[in-house]
Amino acid sequence: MDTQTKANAFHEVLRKMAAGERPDPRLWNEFVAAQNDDLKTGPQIGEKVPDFTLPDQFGKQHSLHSLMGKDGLLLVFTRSADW
Amino acid sequence: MNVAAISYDSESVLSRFSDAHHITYPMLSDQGSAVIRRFGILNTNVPTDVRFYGIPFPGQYLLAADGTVKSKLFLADYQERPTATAVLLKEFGTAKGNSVVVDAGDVKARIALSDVRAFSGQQLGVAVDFDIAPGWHVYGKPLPEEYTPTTVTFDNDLVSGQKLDFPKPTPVKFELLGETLPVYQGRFKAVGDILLQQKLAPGEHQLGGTLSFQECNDNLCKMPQQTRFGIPLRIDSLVPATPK
Repeated sequence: MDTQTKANAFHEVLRKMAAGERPDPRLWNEFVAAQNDDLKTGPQIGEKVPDFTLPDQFGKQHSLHSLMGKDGLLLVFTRSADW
Repeated sequence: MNVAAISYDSESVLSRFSDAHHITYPMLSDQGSAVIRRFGILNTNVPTDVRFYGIPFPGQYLLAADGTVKSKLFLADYQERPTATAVLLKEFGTAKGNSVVVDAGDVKARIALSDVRAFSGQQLGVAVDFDIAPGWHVYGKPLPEEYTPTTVTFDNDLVSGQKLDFPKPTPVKFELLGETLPVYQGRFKAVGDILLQQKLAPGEHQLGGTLSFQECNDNLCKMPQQTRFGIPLRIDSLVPATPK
């Protein structure tokens, strides 16, 4: 999908939603396709993931190492808790 | 097995969400999406002038204790994503949902869901633990028409898609029949997923289904059996955005 088509899909859907209109199915499908174009999934199986330290919802800092349980960790990347 | 979530939300957004939904696992704040970028999963399709620029391609990694990726799951259709507990069910056989034991005499099956509650359109994990009494066996696939394979099928009032993976059956030669048939004996497990219908009414539901099989011993086959079951499942209404 080319950049312009993708950008249009995003702008159109957001404009409609802000105006309280529902995007038609064709536009919605284009919007979903635009979001998923050239999907990247990050580190490969067998690779080590990058290290990091981030605060949680209680203000506590966690490093990747500190999050690990005995059997490892399920790490879930979500879009937002806000929408 | 620990669980943690990462998003680009601020700590205060995460704190409100966590309070509202009683989340006990860490929800990590990657404001500015530095870690999302470091993982190489920033969604670069989003125009930079759009409010949600900075989101990742959503997905999950199952990591070994040394930080190595054991498995990962990224689905293209963002409306169909398994819960974290569904991944736990598949990898570790830990069912956090309700289960029902279907007792059909020599054939018993415990059918478990990954979650007690779900949203419309959500994907749930399913695990079926079979226990076949000694001396008896049931059938796998592929199978000649006159025999009944072992299946668990969920009703389509709640379920729009389902897939259940059975282990490889054992080929057994039946001298009297002059055939070799795929057979299951003793204890075995089938694991899979169901996709819930969209727009289900919130509240308590019964996830209904049918266990179908034919049991035989060395001398005879019983008539194929179909046993109905129901598993309690709560459907939640879709989560509105946290109040500002």
